[in-house]
Amino acid sequence: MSDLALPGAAAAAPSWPSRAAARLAGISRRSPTLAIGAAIILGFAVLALFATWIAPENPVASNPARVLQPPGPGIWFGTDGNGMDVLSRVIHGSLYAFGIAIPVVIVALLLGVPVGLWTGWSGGWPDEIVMRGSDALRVFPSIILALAVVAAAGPSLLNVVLVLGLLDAPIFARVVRAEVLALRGGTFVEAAVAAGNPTRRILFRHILPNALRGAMAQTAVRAAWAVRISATLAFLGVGIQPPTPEWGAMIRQGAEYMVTGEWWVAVFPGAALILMVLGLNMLGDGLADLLDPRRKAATR
Amino acid sequence: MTAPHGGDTLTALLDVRDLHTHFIARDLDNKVRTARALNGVSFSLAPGRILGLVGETGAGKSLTALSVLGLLKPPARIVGGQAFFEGRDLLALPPDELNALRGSRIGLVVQSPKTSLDPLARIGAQLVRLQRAHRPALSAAEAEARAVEILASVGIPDPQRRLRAWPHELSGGMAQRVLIAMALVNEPALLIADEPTTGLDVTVQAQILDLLRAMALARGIGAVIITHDLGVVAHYCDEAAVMFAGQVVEQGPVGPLFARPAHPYTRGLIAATPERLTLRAQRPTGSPPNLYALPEGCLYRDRCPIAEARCATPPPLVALPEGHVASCHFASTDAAA
Amino acid sequence: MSAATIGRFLARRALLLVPLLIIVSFLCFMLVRISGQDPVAMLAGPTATAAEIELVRTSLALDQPLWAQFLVWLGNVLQGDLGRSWLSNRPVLAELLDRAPATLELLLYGVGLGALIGIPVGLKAAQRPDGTFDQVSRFLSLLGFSTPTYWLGLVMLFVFFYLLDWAPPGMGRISLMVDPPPHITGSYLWDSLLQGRQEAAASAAAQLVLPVICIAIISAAPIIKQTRAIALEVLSSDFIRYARGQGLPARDVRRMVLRNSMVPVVTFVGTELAGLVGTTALIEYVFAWGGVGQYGLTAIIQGDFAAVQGYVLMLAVFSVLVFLVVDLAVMMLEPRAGARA
Repeated sequence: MSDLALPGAAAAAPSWPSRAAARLAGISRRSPTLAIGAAIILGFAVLALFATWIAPENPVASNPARVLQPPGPGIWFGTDGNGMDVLSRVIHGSLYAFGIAIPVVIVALLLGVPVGLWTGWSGGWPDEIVMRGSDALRVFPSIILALAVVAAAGPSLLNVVLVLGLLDAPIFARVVRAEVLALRGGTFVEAAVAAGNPTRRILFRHILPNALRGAMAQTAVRAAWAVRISATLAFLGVGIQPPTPEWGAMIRQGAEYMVTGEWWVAVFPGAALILMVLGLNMLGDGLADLLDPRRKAATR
Repeated sequence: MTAPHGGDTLTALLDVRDLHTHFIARDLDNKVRTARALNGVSFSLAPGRILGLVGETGAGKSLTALSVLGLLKPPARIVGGQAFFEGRDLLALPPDELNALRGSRIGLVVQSPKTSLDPLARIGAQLVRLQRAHRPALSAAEAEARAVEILASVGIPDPQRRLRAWPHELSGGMAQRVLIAMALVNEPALLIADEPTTGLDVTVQAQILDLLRAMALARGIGAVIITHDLGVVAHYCDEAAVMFAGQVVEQGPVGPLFARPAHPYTRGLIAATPERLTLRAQRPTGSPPNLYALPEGCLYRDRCPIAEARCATPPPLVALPEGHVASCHFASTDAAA
Repeated sequence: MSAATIGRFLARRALLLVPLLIIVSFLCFMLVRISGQDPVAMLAGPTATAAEIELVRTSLALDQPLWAQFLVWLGNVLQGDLGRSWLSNRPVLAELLDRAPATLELLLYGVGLGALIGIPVGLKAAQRPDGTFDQVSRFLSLLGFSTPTYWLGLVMLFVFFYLLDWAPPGMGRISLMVDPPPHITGSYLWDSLLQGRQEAAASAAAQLVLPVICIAIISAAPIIKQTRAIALEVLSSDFIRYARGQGLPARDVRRMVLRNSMVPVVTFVGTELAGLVGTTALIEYVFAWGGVGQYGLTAIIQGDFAAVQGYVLMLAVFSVLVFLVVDLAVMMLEPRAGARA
C-alpha cells in the first residue's frame, strides 16, 4: 500500500511548500499589517526562546566598575545603575513579556469561553448577572482596577497572571456569548436539535468551534493588553521587582536617570515594550480583518 | 448588441448604449477577479414616456441606474458604453457637470426612503438645501414657498407644518412622497425611480405608483421605474425593458411585449407570474449565470428551454413590429408562434 | 427641547444607574476582602494603634453577615465617610476632593486636545480609505495605542526638560519658586488669572504643557481610529448616497457627514474621558502632579486601602456621571433621542 501511495506523495511534496508560500505572500500583500505584526512577534519569540545564547551577558550580573555607561562598542544599549548590560536585560525581558501574556490569555480563555458559552446558551438570570457584572467592571479604568486588585490580593507573579486573566475574561465571554446567540437561531443548530442531539453535544461539536473563531481573533489584542498592563504594574513597583529584567521594572529603574541624562536605561526597555505591543496589536488588527473582511470596510 | 433599441439619440431623452460595468477586486490569493455585472445594456426612453426596467434580483437594474448617474463606487467600474441624456453622454461628462445634472435635470427616487433622508435635518431644510444647491440665486423664502407647493402637489396634507417635521417622524409612505417631492422640486426632465415601493404596505405601493405616473404625465417628463414586479410594469409603464445577467434582452411597448413576448426569458417570466402580479414568489427555473465566468454567446443559453447549438454565438438584435426588439436567435420565427 | 423633557430624561437615566452603582460599590467593598487577610488590618494600616483598629472594627460591623457589613459600609459611604487614610491620618473623602480639580484640569485639557487632533485626522482619513494619509494616520494611531503612558512622559521630560530646557521639571503644578494662588476653582492656572497674578499663571501653564501633551497623544490614538470608523459608516449610509444622487455639492455632503458623525463621536470621546482617568493617573505619577490619580496610585502601592477604596469608588462615580453627561449631549444633538427618551 505504501508503495502505491509514495509516488503520489512525492509528486505532491514539492508543490505543497510553494503553494503555502504563495498563500503567505497573498495574505501579506492583502494585509501587510498582519505580516509585519507576525514578523515582530516571531522576532521576539526567537529572542525569548534563545535569550541565554543571544544575550551577550548575564542580565543580572552587576558590575560596579561600569555603572551607567552610555551605549558604545560592546555595550550597545549601555549599562544601568548596577552596571548590568541593558541590551542583555532587554533581550531577557521578552521572556517575561511572553511569560505573562500567554498565561494571562490562557486563563482568560479558560474562564471566559465556558462562561460565554453557558450564558449565551442558557440566557435568563445567569446571563443577566454575568453581563451586568461585566458592565459594572467597565466603569473602572482597566489599569486602576488591575492595580488595585493585584495590590489587594498580594503582588505575586501568580496573582498578577490570575488577576489580569480574570479581568480579561469578560471580553472573551462577551465575544463567545455573541457568537452563541447568533448561532443558536441558525438553521444548522435547529437541525441538530431536531435530529435529537443532546445539548452538550450541540454545544461542543457545533457551537464551540464557531464561537472560538471569534475569541481567537481577540487573543493577540488581549495579549497586547496583558503585556502593557503587567509592565505598568512593574513600573509602579507592584508585582515583579528589580533587578528582574522585566521591561516595566527596568523603566522604573531608569526613570530617575531621565532627568539627569542617562536616557538609555529607560528608553531601550520602553522601545522594546512599544515594539512588542505594536506587533501584537498589528497582528490582532490583521487577524480581525482577515477573519471578518466585512469589518475592514466599515469599522476599525 | 451595440445598436440602440428603438428611437435614436436625437429624439430620445435617455439613450443607453452598450453599457459595461465590472466589479474588479482581489481575492484571498491576491488574484484579480472580475465580475461582469453589466454586459452591454442598451435601451432608450422617449420624452414623456415611462419605461419599466424589469428583471430578477442581480440582473443589474439598479447598477444600470447607478452607472448612468455616475454614482458607482469601487470596486464597481464602467468599462465601456455611452448614456446620452438630452444629447450629452453622461458617462463622458466631468464629475462636477454630472453632479449639476443630478437632482436638477435628473430626479432620483430610491428605495428605503426613511433611511435616505438626512436624519439631522428637517424636511423643509432638506428641500430648501436641494433647490439652492442647484439654483444659488433662489432666495430662502422663495425656496420655502416652492417646498410647500411641491409637498402639497405630492399629496402631503398640511405641507406648511410638515416642513418642520424630522424624517424619523414620517411613515414610510409619507417619506416616499417626500422623496418624490425632492426628485421633482427642481423640475427635472427625467425621473429615475429605483424600486420605489420596496418595503411599503401594499395599499401604499399603489398610491405611490399612481402618484409617480400622474406627476410624470402631468409634467411631460420621462421616467424609468426599476422594479422586479411585472405587474408594476404592466399597470404603470408605457414601455418595458427586460434585463437578464446584465443585458436588456427585450424592449418594447408594454402592449405588444406582454401580448407577444419574443425572448424565451420574458416568456418564462410572464408564465411564472400568477396573473402577472409578482416575480418574487416564482421565478423561471435555474439561477443567473456566474458573473465571474460568463458563457460565450447567449447568456440565457444554460437555462433556455429551446437552446440550440447556434446559441453559443452572440444572438442578433431582432426588430419586431411596433418598435419591439429582442436579442434572441429565435426571435423572428418564434414571435409569430 | 423643554426643561421638563430634559428633567424627565435625567431622572430616568439616574434611576437606571442605581443598580449599576450598587454593583460597583459592592465590588469596591469586596476589594479589601479578596486577599483573605483581616480587612481591619488592611484598612487601618501597619502603623495603627490598638484604639484605631478598634474604631475601624466597630465601623465595619464585622460580627454580622457579609451583606449586613456591606449595608453598613454603604451607609457610611452615603454619609460621606470613606474612612481614614493611615498614611496621612485624614479623611479619605476630604483628601480626594482637595485633589480633584488638579486631575480634572489635566484630564479635560488632555482629552480636549486629543479630540481636537483626533477628530479631524479621523475624518480626513475616512475620505480616502487606504490612501496615504489613512495609512500613516492608522500607523500613528496604532503606535499611540502601544506606547506606555509613563514612558512617554519620561521621554518628554528627557527631551524637553533635560536636553532642550524648554519645559520646567516635572515637579508638580507650579514652580517651587512661585506661591500657589489662593483657592477659588482649584485650578492654579485659572485662580492665578482670576487674581491677575501673571507670574503664577505663567508657571502653572508651563507645568501643564508636557503632561497635557502626553495625555493628548495617548487619547488621540483611539479617537482617530473610532472617528474614522464612524465617518466611514456614515459615508456608506443611504442618506449620503442619496445626497450624492441629488447632486448636492461636495461641501454640503461633507457637512452632512460631519454632523451625522458627531453624535457617535461625542459618545465615544465621553467614554474615553472616563477610561483615560487611568492614563492620567500614570502621567500624574510621573510628573508628581499631586492630583487624585497620584494619590490613588500611591495609596495602591503603599497599601493604604481605605484610600484605595475611596479612589476606586470615586472613579466609578466619575465614569457614571460622564456617561450621564454624554447621554444628555446626545439628546441635544440628536432629534431622534428626544423622541425615545
